[in-house]
Amino acid sequence: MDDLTREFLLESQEGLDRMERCLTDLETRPGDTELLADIFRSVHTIKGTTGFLGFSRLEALSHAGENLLGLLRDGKLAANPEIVSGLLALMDILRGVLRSIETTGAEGESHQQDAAMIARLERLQSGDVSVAEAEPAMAAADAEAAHPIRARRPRAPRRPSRPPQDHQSAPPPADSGEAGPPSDLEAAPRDPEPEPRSVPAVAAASRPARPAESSPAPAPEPAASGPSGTADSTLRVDVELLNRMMNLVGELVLTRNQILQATSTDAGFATLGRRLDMVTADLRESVMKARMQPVSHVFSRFPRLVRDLALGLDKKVRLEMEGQETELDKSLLEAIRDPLTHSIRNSIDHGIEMPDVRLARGKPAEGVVRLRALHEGSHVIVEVHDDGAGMSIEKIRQKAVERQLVPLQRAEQMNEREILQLIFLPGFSTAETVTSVSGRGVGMDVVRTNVEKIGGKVEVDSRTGQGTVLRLRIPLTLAIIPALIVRSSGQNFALPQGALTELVHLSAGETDARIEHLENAALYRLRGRLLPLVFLDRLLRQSLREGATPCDIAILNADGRRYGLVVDGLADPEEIVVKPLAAVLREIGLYAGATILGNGEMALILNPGAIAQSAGVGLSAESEDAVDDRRAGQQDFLLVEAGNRRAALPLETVVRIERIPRSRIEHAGSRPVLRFEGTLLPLDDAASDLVDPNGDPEAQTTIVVCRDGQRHVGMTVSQVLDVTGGRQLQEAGTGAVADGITLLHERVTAIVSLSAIPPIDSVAGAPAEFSLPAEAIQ
Amino acid sequence: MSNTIHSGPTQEVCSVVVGDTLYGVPIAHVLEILGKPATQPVPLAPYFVGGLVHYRGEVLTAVSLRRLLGMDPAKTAEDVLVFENADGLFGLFVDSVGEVMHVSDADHEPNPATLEARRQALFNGAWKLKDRLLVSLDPERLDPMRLASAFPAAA
Repeated sequence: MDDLTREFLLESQEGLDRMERCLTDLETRPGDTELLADIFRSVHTIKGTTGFLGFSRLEALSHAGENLLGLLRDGKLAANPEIVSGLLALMDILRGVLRSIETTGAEGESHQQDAAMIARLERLQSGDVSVAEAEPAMAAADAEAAHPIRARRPRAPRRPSRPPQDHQSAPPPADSGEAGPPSDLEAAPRDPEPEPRSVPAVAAASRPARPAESSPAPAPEPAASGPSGTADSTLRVDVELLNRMMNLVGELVLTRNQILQATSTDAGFATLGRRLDMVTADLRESVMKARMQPVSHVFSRFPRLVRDLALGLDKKVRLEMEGQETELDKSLLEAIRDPLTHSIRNSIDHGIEMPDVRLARGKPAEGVVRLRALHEGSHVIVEVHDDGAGMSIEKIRQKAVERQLVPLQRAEQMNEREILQLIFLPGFSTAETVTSVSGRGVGMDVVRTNVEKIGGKVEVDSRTGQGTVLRLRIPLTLAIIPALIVRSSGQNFALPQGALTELVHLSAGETDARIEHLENAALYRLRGRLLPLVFLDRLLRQSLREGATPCDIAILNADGRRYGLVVDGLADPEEIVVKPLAAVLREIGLYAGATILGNGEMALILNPGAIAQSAGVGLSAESEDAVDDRRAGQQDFLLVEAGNRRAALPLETVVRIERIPRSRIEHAGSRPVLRFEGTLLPLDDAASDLVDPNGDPEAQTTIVVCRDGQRHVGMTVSQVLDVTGGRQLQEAGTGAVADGITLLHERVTAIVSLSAIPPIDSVAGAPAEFSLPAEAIQ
Repeated sequence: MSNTIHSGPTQEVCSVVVGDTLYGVPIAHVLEILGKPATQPVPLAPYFVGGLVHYRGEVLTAVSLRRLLGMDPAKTAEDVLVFENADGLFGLFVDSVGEVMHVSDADHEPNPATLEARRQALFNGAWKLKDRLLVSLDPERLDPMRLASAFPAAA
């Protein structure tokens, strides 16, 4: 393939991408002339170049599209869903041909398809919506019915003077005397081709108008090459080259480190070394930046996807996108494309209900899928949020048991969060029937695997009747990840921070006492819960530690498996550059790669998920243990000060702690509530006392968001004091376990009863709908 | 200087020493020689993998000739030869790298039939020098991928 063709392919694909974006926008803003001009330009550019390169199929197709778009651009025709569908279908064919050129170097042949497409576009040009999708033969059958059909006839000969020769069966116009629909008349002059046409009489009738009509047409064409204003200052670079540069920069960083060490004593060299240091850091940053692209590159194809899916399922769905400018490493962007597509499909197929169902539930008929990207530390969060039916915890539990993914007994013990995690198991699907969109049992597990492959994480949160949020946490760059360096048997290993939840240090004297054994299984009691332990040195069959030595436990959460990895010691956290391992070492399975540390030493990067699997750490181990220690009467509490009293909140119910301005507390009826991320959070009574209309609007208060069964409630506290283990107290004499109090720090403390906070609907008289604005309740 | 007995077509080989034996690797295959680089062992790796070495921003898997031949581990740091294979690059640990020699094709003889099977598979005959033998090593036979399938669980 020559350079010219390659350039053309790239350019055309970009043009089509842009066109796709614009087309779906067009549906919401049918009259936007700028959009239309943009789409027109894309198609026009393709047509222009194809003619030059001799791709006749592409030329004929884009020509037909251009004619229709010309009408739209000039306002002679208004965009409607049929037209957009037609143009989208055209784009798919164009893409197909481009692909064929890319792989085989030739356009491939499909005259029938092309002719049908061109005919469809022509029908759309006549503005005849009702038969736009019908077969030409059918259209002819009821030809006597209406004007538009008659008007359509003379058009047939016009376009196809190009390749599909067989299409050129020009019937002479029958209705020359009649002024057809205006769209028809003006369509003729729009055609910018200088080709000699058998211009029918109908065109002759409008001839006087033509020169005036056609002159504006070429005007925007210089602009077609115009958008290169930015193109001139940018350059396409092979990703391979960027990867290579990234590698070399990494090498340079290490060399710099060594030079800095070697020259630290010489003053002259030290200055030079510092400059080298700065230049290297800048260079590294620049190369990394060169690899970044805005997420809009991936988002841009979703409007089309949502539109097509919604149409196919007869649902009404609106896609809202936020944070499109958020940038992500190119390779990561590619990696999240499929998981996101999958999640959006799921949201529309399983999440959003049929319009009548939604209306019956008091929601607007149109469902909303919100796609949001934002930066959070060294991660980018991409959220897929839908306001659909949400997931039924019970249904998931049932399904998981049915599919034998978890034993019945275990499923019954799992809490809500753990149940939701089950959807990520391979082979899980709650769809009643398999649709073309989803329900084949591959889905969420693929999403999770793909995201975890790039060091990301997937979280799901769902409320029945209110919707589902899927959050993908993606590291900023694939090449560089934050990691904790741990040591085992004198060797360095890098532990990706993404899986790390906390660290526990055991001194030499503690190891024997704190690490418990159940037969062969080593366990550690973390806040009352038993956590399976994996000894890195034993797992890797390194020389074992002797006697009681201090150790560190890295508490990891990988693929929903929680365990503690016991290592000899910890070094500093470091941003590491991931280097791939040779195939023979990848096969070991426990390593995600290797890296070169700042001091020049090498370290293997551990794969926490694979370690859990190889050590046999199960998904459910945690929940079983949780039940065990509840029985033993050990429970952890968040110790808070509310009012002037100390109170205890069971730690397992605590979702998060928020600082908010007091002015945000509102009332629904007499109940204090807090609007929170689009949901309404009922607060405890004490919150009412904090509301003081004359008080300082900036005054803050602390809210502990807790889980009470299926719902969330907020508890206002003046101070969070501690997390501590509490013991049950027994009533003297009867030995009955005292309810509602516990012993914390050797003081009897009341446990807050979350169920005492009444639900909103019981006071406001209206169901607390997801979409219901708080004003409506007040 | 020539170590050869006969004249005729010659080639340059890089001589390396492992234990008491002198080996020769055609210099055309050698990308680079790393003098006693820092190495990182890989727990659970196939027995023939000596460890990882850092080479120009890449982490190379290096095969240990000592381990392949079932010899005791080296007491001191080893040199590494860098080769290219289909998978990328790989290294070969040897005790030390010697001089480059010119050897004549006419002096080359195939492996003797009496040679132990594993060595049969690894060695590519030998050149007869004036006073000793120079065992020919073919980097293709030392490719870790190939070794993994040729000697799955040996030693």
